[in-house]
Amino acid sequence: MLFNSTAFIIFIFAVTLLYYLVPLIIKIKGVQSWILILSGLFFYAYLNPFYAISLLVCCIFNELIVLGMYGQYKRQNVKGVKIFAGSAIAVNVFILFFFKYSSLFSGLLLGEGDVTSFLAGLPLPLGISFYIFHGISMLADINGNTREFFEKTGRWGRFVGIMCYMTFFANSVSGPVTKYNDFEPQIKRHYFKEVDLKKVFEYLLLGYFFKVCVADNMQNYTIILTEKQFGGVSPIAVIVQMFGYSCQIFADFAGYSYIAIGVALLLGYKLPENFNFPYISKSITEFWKRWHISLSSWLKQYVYFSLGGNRKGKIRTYFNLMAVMLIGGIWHGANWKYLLWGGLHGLLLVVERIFINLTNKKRNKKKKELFIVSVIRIFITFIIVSWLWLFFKMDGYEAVFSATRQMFTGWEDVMAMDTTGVLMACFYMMPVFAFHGVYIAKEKGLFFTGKNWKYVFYAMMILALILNRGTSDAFIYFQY
Amino acid sequence: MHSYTSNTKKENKSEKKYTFVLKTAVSFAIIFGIYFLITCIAPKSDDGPGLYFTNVLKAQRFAMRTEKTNVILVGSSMASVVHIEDYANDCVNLAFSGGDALTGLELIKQKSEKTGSYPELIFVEISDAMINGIDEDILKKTNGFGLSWINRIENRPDYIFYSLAKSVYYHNKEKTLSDYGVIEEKLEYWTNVKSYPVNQNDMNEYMELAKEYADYFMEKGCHVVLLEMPYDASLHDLPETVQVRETALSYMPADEYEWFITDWSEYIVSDAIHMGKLSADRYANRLIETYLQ
Repeated sequence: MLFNSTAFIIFIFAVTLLYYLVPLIIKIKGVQSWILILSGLFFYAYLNPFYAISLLVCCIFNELIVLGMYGQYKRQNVKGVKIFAGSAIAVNVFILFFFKYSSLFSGLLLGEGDVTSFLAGLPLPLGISFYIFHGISMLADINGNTREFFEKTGRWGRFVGIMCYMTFFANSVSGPVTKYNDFEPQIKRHYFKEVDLKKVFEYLLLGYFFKVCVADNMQNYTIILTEKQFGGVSPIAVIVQMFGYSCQIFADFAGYSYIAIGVALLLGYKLPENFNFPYISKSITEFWKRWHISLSSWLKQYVYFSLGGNRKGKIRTYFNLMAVMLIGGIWHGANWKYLLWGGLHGLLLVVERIFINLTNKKRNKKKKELFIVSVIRIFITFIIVSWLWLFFKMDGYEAVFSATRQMFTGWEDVMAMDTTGVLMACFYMMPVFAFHGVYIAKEKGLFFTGKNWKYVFYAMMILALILNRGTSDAFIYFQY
Repeated sequence: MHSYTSNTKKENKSEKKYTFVLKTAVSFAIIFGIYFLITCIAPKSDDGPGLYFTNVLKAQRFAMRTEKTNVILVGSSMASVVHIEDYANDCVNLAFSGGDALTGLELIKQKSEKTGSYPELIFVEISDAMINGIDEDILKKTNGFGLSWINRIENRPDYIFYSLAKSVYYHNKEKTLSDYGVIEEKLEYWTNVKSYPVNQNDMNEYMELAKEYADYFMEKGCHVVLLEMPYDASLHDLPETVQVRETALSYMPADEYEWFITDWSEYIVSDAIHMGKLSADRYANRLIETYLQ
């Protein structure tokens, strides 16, 4: 079920009603959690029953492992608990690997053949990358807090809690990736009167505006990036569409995340923020603190720290950074382009880290950066990030290089271009830039400081939602 | 995000729980009022920001048109460049880029049945594009709720922006592909496409539908003229072009239906299948001269 479909609007309305009304009639503890679990499975089954079955199998597997861990805990076998958790994490990784990457590696090792075609033909369960990460997070967190976890809740409570966490439909398809330790304390009876409806409204409005009005429209004007050859295309068109895609992917994914957070808030759950104005980043390091924060934070906690973080010397830190970014890249899909995209980001992070290490001693930390310098740094970072998105969007690095080449050729007749496409791409970039710009203006106390300004923005967004809807399309991150 | 949402306790305390609804509603009323005024005074372009919008805009304008329409040209992007509407107020070009004549014919049928008034002359482009069938989305957007104020392309903010920008400055140099030597690539592409016939069953199905429309309008007293839009002359006898022509003639033979025949070599096509502006104008002129004067 897509967040931007009519079916979902009806679904969330029905779920909210049931979620708050049923506990008033059926006085059974945990009934709300069961409503969430069943809704989650229905949410998946609506698109394809196979998706719901895959999720259910994954949940049951993790439930059994937790049961096994509990058995070891009862016997006070700490090592046994760790073995259970470790092997289950490995199995989770294997499941993800099998469904997402087996065909890629089979093609590499065995070449094109029956095995590769069979593996390539396997359907990819919806949201697998996210709920497998949730499973790993849960096992790691339980392993880290075994005593507290097993003493605090009973067997039934644990079962329901894990199911609820894994099947929570607001974020199980495309995030935000939520750590079990952050989610579990929120599994309790929720009351409608406690819901902050204003925040729900704000998140949903912003989310739907970005997805329906910006991303769905912008996709019509970044179509050129699906080409492989760019001969004859104006450099301005290529450059504008590159920036356009940056805005499209932000609007699409941030839009999804805001809707997910809004829906979760409506049901009494607080999910982590996933975006913090990423396009005002002054460096790639800062960008990754602002973009897909929940994934970065997950990778940092469960991969980077596990590899030793920055405690094992400079070289090892660089290696760890690179490893995390490569994993983050390939996590997006079974395609070398994602690995390349992650690798390039990793390389830039390493270069920045080396630069920081070299200049740290000389730098006067008290000295404030000039505003113009900040603007230049933001601009350069945005250009780099946008160019790297081309690897994400385009089919192969040859296409990226062809597009890049085209950016530097054909300037002698620069106006010979599809003006409409360029104009409209700029038009749809404006909301994304305004979103970031208003934030800066507000932070600096320049404009929009009054508390009622936001109502003007809300009114404009509602108007756009009514009049300027784009062609409904699936979220970009649904494929991951 | 926190700049856009209320997360300060102070602010929450100072506002009652549902004040935001009232404030948003008032702001919306004001913004909507301003926007409504803008839609009334802003220039209105003849095309939309993209093919899809241009098609829907064209269809919606036709559906809402109150003046009598006597001459209509239906077809695909090849016919959309032939601006017969420049010759008289009762002429309309209802050709859809990426679409085909069948959608146009269905729109005319629906409107004529509703108003009881039929056009005098309909030019129908016969081409391989007909296998696209009828565009249901366009029909949906020209009926009932689809035609309501909030669903009209003319009232979309992106259309207003586009029209404004176009009225201030617009430089969409017409078909410069040949400047880059891309025309050879295009010609090669279309030669390749038209070297293979399309599925004959599909072609039969849609040609039969075209015949049904032609019969329907002729029965209602309309003059229906079938035409093949000029391609690059080298594409004239390629298998797909021949297949389309022969299938059309088998359903609508030249002795029973009127065909407008013209020499393709007289027209210059900018990208192998679409006529350049001058040629398109000459073609429109020829149609008008032949059938209206």
